[in-house]
Amino acid sequence: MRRFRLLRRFERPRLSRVGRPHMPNLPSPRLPALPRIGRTRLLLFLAMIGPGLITANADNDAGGIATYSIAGARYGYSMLWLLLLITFSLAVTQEMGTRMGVVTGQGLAALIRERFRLKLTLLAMGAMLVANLGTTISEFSGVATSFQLFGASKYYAVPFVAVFIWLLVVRGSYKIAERVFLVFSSFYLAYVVSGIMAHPDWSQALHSTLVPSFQMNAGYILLFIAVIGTTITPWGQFFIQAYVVDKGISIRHYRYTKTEVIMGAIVTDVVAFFIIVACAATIYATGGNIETASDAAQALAPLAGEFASKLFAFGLLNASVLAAGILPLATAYAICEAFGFESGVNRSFREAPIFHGIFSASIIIGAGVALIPNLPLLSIMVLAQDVNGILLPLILIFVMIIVNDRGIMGDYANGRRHNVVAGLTTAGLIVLSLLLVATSLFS
Amino acid sequence: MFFLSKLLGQQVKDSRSQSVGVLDDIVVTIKRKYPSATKLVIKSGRKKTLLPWQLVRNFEESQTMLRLPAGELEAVEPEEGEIFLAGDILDKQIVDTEGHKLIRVNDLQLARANGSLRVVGVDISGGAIMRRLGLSRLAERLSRRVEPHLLDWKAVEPVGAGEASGMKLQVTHDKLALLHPADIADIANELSPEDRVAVVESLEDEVAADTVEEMHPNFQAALLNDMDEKKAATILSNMDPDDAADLLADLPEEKAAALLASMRMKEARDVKQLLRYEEDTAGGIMTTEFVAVPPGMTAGQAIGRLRELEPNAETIYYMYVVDDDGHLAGVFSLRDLLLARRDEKVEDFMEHHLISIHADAKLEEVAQVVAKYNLLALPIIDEENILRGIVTVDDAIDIILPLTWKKRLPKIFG
Repeated sequence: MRRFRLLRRFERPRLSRVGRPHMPNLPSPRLPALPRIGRTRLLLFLAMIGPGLITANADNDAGGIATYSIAGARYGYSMLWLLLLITFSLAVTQEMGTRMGVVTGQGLAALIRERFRLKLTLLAMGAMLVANLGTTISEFSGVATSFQLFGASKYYAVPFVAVFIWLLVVRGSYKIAERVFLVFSSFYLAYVVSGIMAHPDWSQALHSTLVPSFQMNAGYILLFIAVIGTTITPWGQFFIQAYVVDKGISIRHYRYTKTEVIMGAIVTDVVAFFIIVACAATIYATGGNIETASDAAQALAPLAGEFASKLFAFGLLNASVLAAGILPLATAYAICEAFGFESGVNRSFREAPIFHGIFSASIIIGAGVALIPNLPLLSIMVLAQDVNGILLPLILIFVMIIVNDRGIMGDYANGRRHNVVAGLTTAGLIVLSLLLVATSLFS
Repeated sequence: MFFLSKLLGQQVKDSRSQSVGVLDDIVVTIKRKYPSATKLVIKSGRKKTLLPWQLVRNFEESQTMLRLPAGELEAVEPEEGEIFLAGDILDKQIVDTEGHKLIRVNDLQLARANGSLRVVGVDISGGAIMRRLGLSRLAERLSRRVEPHLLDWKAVEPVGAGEASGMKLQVTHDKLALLHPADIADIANELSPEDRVAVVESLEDEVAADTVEEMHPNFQAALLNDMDEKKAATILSNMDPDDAADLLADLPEEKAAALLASMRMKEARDVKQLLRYEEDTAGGIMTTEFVAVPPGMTAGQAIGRLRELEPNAETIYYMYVVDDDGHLAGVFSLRDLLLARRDEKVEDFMEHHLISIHADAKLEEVAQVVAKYNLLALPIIDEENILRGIVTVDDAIDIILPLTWKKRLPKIFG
């Protein structure tokens, strides 16, 4: 009815609106009783849940879990203190991303295009395409290995997951997809349980979390950098910003989003804490060694029980599926936004061919490559990590310049104190990610 | 024909053929159908100078010659209604008023006309991207096969321009305002909050109200919150009372109260009444735009009233009969009215036994009653049997078929 009336008014312009007819002197309802005005804060906050929690959890992807497992298995509890730094850095970078999204109503790629013009945008997008594709492959191989841990063939499992993700995003609705992703985020609790079941030495774990320690050897330093680099990613920056733009969060409600982003960072690192603890209490304590996350799951079985091992494997599967769903989306949105192609899963393939092309191709390539037998998986993951490592400094510098541009951000640009914190975080991350790239190139 | 991307960075020489810098930007006045160049920005080292276009003696793709020697060039300031082509338009989003969407400008096409340089088209093709990357030949080979995507400037309209000169452009969005409000809303959804306010504020009250109604629900409250209060109140007054009530319910209490206070009296009263009811009750979804007549009215008078009021009532197929205190007394249909004699009083042919429902009733009940009695509209009453509003059958269908997906079609997940 509403739309119909609107159309009609359009054809026949300017009829003055007469409000309600013949309603003489109605007793006016009591005014203070307007229960719908000023609803509770809790409800508002609950409605804001999504961006921070989903993005931060997706950052703990297949590669992240492998890195944390190896950190725990090789160096015990000693790297736990890093998690405080990571939580902080993650919260700082993601907060800037959400703020840019809320204030400008545009994604990061669009802002980069407007601020840094075509050539730099092309460079950033090209690198992102390669990095995201590599990461997607590693997520699908995470799916493959975790299904193998449950005794299922990857040749059935991987295509199944690929189709599931494709259907969820293309055929599902925003609400359904968000809920599914939130449920996946909650499954990370599996790691908390398996960490507790490993019976760690809590006092030592707590001590290592609060008191920094360091070892001067190449292996330690490399892993140190990898642990930080695996959580803060370029695609995470693109995704969280696109997400808040889509969710239509207004600056008035921004403080709720900010809280949620900080919460997401904390939850993510609590999960990481339990992954490291599980491996430290078992594999490290008995002097074992692992190379991958599925090694870790298998090694857990005799030490912490079959259930703990299965939970660990389930966690890996969950993390891989979540990230494999998010990465292709983030890629397609960023590229279309940067170059002005039609985008959106609610548009048909014909309307938005490039968007759908990139999204579907990412899934097909990611799943397809992960199925190739005897694939040098480790090299692909290292390559993806390297491209991400090169891209991250570029993206963070872009973010810092944009978030300080008063022409774009207005009153919501970074303040001085904020800049000191964000600047130090960014500089630290840049140095670390370049170091990571350098070490992998020269080793 | 020139492409802006090819012009930028070319040499600018003074009357003695000495280089004074490179062309950094072209300023145009958008007051014309095809904006004409009024100034140019020259960059020499890090220094940028704004010069009037009158100083240009000869304009070529490869270089620009000025009339005066370098020493006599006097810088000017940008004026109102002027935009910077590279700063405000290139790489930015612009409204394609024919395609009803936002597009990203990959390049601009300029042409000489009547002694001035004018913007004639917007290039949004991939070929333009190649051209700017220096791959012109490849772009040409491609463009022979792929249609160049050039849009006439007449069909586009900049939004949120003016950042480059530091002063926001106060444009009336003439071309945008001609679109259907639902299309304007789609475009506004994609803008930054600031530009969204600017666009909606520039629209006529009625169009603005329809646009806000069609916008993404999450943006509506924020938009009105950021807007000039008087304009916001006017827009609210022009909206459907039920939509206005939904919107006000999303605003902070003080702001909602302030807006209610500055709304037109009658509309404010309607909206306040609707705000009493929870969203998931009959009162929360009813509309107050219905036709009601006193019992003593004749059929002829009732038809007259209908002619007078029809444009705004949600439905005219049922007319309600209320006494002077607003108590619901009866109902008659359009058919009853047409078949009645002109001088017959409505109380003589109206239906006394009518189906109505209390404003606090749950939505499922409303749907059930509408379905059971095959009603086109169901009157909603309060404790004292005062008619407060109606729920039309289409709203009742929306109860059963969840409506949310219709309005909320955000990009990222579908």
